[in-house]
Amino acid sequence: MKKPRISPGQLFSLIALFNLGTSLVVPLGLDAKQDAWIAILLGMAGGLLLFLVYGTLFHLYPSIPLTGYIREILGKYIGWPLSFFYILFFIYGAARDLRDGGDLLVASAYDQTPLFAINALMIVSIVYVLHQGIEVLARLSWLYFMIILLVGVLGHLFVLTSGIIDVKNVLPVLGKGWKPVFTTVYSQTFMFPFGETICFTMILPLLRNQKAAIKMGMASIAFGGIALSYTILVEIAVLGVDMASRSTFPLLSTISLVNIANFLQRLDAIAVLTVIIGVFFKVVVFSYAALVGVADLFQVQDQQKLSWPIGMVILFSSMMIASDFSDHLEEGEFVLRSIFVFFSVVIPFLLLIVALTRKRIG
Amino acid sequence: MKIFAIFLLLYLASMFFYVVVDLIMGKSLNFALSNLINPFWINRGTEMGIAFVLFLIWIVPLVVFHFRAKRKVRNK
Repeated sequence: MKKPRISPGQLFSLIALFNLGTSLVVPLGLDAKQDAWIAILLGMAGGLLLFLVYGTLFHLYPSIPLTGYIREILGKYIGWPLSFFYILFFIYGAARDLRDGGDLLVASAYDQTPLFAINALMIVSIVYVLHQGIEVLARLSWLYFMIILLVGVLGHLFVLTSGIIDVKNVLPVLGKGWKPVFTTVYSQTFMFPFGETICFTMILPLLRNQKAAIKMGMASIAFGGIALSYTILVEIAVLGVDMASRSTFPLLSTISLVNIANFLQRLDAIAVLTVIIGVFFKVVVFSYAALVGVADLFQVQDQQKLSWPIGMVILFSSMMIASDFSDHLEEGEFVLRSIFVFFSVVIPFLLLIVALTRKRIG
Repeated sequence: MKIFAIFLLLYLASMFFYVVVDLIMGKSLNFALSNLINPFWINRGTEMGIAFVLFLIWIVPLVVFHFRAKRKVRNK
């Protein structure tokens, strides 16, 4: 059977949509107050370094995914269980993002619809795309990247022309020094969303032009980081730092303030559209990473057969991970500082050190 | 059968993972276990219906495929 392939441009759009995903709509990095945009840029720098590590590992083992080279590097007895934990991690990541999206949609637009119904509808479309394969997903990502770009440019134009920006809201810059910025980078902006790009280690072997992997990945992360940083800067400038950090959904609050000549108003749909597209791509990439991992670990030839079981596990997991939204957010803060750091930073760095040492000795 | 076994393994392992995360966060075992039955606290009939339909969409083709494969082997 012909191996599916994706182009570097499609990888760019996939990573960009993945990074913008849910982070575009939540109050990202606002623990650093007015300096949230700096915290995002520093998180992006960390993300670039991380992707360099993932890319180097990929160049050492270009034809196999992360779960494959973990076993090559660490051996079967340590590598197999660790690969299995990575699958659980990808499922957990997908479930968290699905829950994020579901809760945000319930809070913003669908207050009469049960959370389970929203998550189930989302998972049906995700399973459909998984069933169609990575090439369809990659083409879809290019199309939606253009839509998000268009919606983003229009949204920012509306905000700029409606005169609701107050530059004083973003001042003073670094008023409390670097400490709160670095604390926020560690606890939030480094892992979310940049550390989550670990799931692209499962997709990189499918790249048509493998030499372009690191360059495209890093360009996409830089694009996503700058777009996120600019968006949060505009949100703070419009809402003020207190209101932006209190809001569950600062993008929605910002967009809903737009009023041009009492004619162009109630543009909340733009924010809701961004949530739906962003959540979809985040969950679908995490799910695809889990699917590739399961197929690799359990030697399943036909990956399509795994799309429903993995979709069902993610759907039920999204309801099981927390009892309510506040519990979900509390758990999110904890896992970003612990589990995500372990899987996205510690293990890949160790793998790289072991792989390079073995290569030098061998 | 293999696919169903993988589904069960992933489902159970995920449940274990979520309980461990809750316990590490300092929550009680009772709280962690009660979270696991969240998907089954179906409040409305529609939610139960959606869960059932999704399950059918997955299970029915698997069962049909299994019996077709069996019939093909018998006919040979």
